[in-house]
Amino acid sequence: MSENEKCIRCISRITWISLCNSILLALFKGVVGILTHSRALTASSLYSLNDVISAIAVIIGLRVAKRPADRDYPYGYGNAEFIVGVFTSILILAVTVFLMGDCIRIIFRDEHPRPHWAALGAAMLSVFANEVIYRYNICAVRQVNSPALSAHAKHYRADTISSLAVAAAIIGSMMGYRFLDAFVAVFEAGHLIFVSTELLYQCGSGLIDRAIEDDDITSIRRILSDMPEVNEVRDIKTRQIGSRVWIDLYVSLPSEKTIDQVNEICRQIRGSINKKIEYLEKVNIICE
Amino acid sequence: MLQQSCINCGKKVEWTVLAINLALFILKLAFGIISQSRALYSDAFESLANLIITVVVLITLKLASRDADEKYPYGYGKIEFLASGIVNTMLMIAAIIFTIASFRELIIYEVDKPPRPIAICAAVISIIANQIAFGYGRCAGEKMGSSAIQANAMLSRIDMGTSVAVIFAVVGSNLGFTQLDHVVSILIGILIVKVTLGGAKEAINGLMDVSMHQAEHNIRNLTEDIDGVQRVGDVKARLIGRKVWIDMDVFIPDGWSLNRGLETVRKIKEVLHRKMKNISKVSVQLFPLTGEEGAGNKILNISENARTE
Repeated sequence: MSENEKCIRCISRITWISLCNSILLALFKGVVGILTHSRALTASSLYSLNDVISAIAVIIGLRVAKRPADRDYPYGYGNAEFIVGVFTSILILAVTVFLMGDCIRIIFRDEHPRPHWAALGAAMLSVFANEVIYRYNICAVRQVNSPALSAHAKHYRADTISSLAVAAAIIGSMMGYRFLDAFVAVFEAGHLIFVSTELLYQCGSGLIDRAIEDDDITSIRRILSDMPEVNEVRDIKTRQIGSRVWIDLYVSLPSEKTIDQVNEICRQIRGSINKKIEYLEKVNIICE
Repeated sequence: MLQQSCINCGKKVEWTVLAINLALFILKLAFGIISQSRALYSDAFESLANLIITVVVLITLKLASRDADEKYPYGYGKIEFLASGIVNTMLMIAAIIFTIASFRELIIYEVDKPPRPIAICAAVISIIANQIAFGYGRCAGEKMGSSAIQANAMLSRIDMGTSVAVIFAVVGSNLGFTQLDHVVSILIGILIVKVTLGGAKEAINGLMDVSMHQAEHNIRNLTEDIDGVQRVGDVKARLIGRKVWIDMDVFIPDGWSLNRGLETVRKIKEVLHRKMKNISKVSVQLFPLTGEEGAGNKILNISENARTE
């Protein structure tokens, strides 16, 4: 087994370990948070739930979205990734808004619950577990330099910090500042709403066929303008299905050429675009 | 092409349905509280669901009609699917919670007081109003070919059915079957879950660019008869909102000039636009017939190379 292969196996193991960690933390913090009436801890459990869902979305993306196109779905299953993202972010948003309403009600009515040491224990455990997972992940990131994994690792660092805030809030409430728990919970919920809305927008706009990055379109234009045979570029339509890029080019080619020559030109265009654009799935070239 | 008057009519339908549902929701909720009928409560919820969906349909009709731009080169049509998916999911969650709450009440508490017969009034009004909304919406939906309006019309019909059930529940409860009110309320909840599940599924299929088998079959048949078309390769049809977009590969004899090929493409487009409804854009890729017949797809599809690399 080569060094690289070992690394990849190690990373897939990390993904699973991180997932298990998040599931356990989400359950544990959720149960303890509800039992001890600590809103901050409940909000923190939603964070972990968010991690679980994003990890599951990644796994679904890898499994379902990679299925090849078939008769029923001729454009492939790539959008499954976005759909999972949309539905899970709505779910999280709904729960978070509910929790936030609860916190605001508590703050206004001044009915702050009595803190319990179990909530503190759960928060400390969460700080510890997330920090370990973060260290583990960041070590793997150094080995393979994957941007996706690096973003994922930062997630756990954010979790560590949020759990620290929760722990501080609970200690504060124990010392008599009862309002701290609900306050921290409101902040956490606000941040969660921000994060989920961003995810919702990303996935939603992907689903309604948003174009790829401007830079990529510019480089496609450059490739086409470098080819003397291409008279005019009428339109470039691009979209992303899951992680793969689909391109429709509407071009005008010399009309006196035979179809065989035209086909050869098209093949060249496809070849040079393939070199420039990452994750390219298909280029349709429509002569007009 | 749709006429402007038709689009206006579509908007007017939705406004009417919106007003009807708003009135029904308030009426049912008020009567539900007065008469203490659980079934009428869930029926009010059904009207609220219709109300929300109608608002979404209105917004999406507006958004989806925006023209394609740089950011969204295929236009905004798919917003219709996205909105319908999100709304259906949210309603489904709400309906599940509601049904569970009814169920719990049925089991835990002794239900002894039957709802007051006045609930029947609200149900009767609901049946009449929904019948009007259904007829109006279905007609406009079919004319415009809008799945959103048609789906919305179906919801009115379901609301009518639940109102009939409410009458049975109220009458039955007053005749001595005191549990009936709750049972009907649970059944309505389950029905809403079923309907929203269907709506969500349809929306997901639209978002995943599900194949339109029948349309593809027709396109193939229509194109094969056209002069100069040697073979029709891959045909893909997908819905972007209300419009059908077509991607197809056509093989023409080798040695033909591109000009002759483009002439064929023009004929194909003309025939498809004439014979089929709601076609938006037809993208035809031309290929020479020789040598590549069997391997045709390999050459078209870069991903095969990219994946093996």
